[in-house]
Amino acid sequence: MQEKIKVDNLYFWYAGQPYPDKEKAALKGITLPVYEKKVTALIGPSGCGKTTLLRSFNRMHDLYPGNKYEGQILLDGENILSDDYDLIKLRTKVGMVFQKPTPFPMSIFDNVAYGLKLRGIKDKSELEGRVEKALKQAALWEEVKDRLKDPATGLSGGQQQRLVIARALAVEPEVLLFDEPTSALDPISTSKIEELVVQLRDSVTIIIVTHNMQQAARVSDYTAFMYLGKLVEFDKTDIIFTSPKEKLTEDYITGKFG
Amino acid sequence: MLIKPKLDEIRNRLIEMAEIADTMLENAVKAIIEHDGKYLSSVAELEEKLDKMEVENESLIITTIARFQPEAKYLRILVMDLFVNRDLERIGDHAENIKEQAEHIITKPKLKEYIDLPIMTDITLGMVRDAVKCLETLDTELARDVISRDDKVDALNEQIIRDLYTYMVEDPKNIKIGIRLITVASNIERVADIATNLAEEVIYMKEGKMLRHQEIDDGN
Repeated sequence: MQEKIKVDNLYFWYAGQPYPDKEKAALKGITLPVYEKKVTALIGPSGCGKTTLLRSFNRMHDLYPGNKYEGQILLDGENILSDDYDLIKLRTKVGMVFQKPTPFPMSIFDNVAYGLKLRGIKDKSELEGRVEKALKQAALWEEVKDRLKDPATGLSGGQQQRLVIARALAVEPEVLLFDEPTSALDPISTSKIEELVVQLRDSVTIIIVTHNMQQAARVSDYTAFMYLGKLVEFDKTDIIFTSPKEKLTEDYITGKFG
Repeated sequence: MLIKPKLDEIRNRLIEMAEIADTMLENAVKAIIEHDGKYLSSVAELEEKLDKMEVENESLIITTIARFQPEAKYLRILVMDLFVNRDLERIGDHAENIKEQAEHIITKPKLKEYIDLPIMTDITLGMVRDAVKCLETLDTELARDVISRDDKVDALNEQIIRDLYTYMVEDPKNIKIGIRLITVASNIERVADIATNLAEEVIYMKEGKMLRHQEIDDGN
């Protein structure tokens, strides 16, 4: 099994946290493999650092000044935290889907074509082909194929989330990050997104943050349990949810805290 | 539903186990009826495979329950699968027991021509096969039919025991083989009981009714 990403002794401080005090970092020495074309779930109680870790994978934290990293995140063997790593390249390789659907105020078609146009693709038939492919991958094509020119904001929440996934997929990322992708959705839309995550595993590496433990259990191949900025346990999801090695993991899974 | 492929995988594995258990039983009894040891070599080999599958299936079922937290129908399916898994492995154990008796029985001349034993075996194998068919189709009518056949097997078992008693009373030299043949019949009778359990589990799965330790009803 190929390691797509290797997190190696990663520390992270938000602006205002006492850098370089390692005890007070938001992430404390995380070491974690992310296997290629598998779904890895990050779980843990609020404030455990799961979203902070997820946002490190495409250097979202760089959007705010004063945040600091230490350690390495190797993507295909290259450290994405190094100053000379090309952020445009990183964010093309690593797409992200947020908690709340974030469609752009434009048509369904243009939403999906946006990233492609940014990359200089102008050929109409190529754009159409790739938009259709991405919408099909996101299991949305059948519902929108007759109204691609309609505004994306007219779609339901669940459809908007799948549109956003299609937009992320259009540029053919190698890794897709999901940050609580269903917490704003109803149960039917949630199960569609979950099925989609499982299907997408065939083509991309997926990392998903969820506070819904059962969701992690249902969709992931590997699970990382985090607590107070540390990685407590990482293993196959089958093992984490039937016989975790750490008592802390067992207590969290069985609802004793968190 | 993400759970569906898991349920299908478990079901297919159970059907494979059922086929293995069926072959084991058929061969173990055939060795006695045809008085020929060539049927026995595959039994031990299959027993090993069946045991391995039971352990793997149990882990698969428990993991599926843990990961998908099923309710209602899906919960009943998985609980049933857990029972069925163990039941099928036990059929294999009984076949293995019969094989061990067969190894001794075939070293001595035939005590008698077997008449009831093949009939009992055929009915029992039919029960197992139909019970497994029910697992696939959830046909509760067929399941009730399987359950109703158990009395016939019990009666044949009694008949075989009575018959063998007469041979043993006539000549104490027949006792050794007689006891072994009674053990064989008892093991077949237990397999029929297991087939009955399987059929009851199908009814539980489909209708949510627990039939164990009760007379069967008409399904209404």
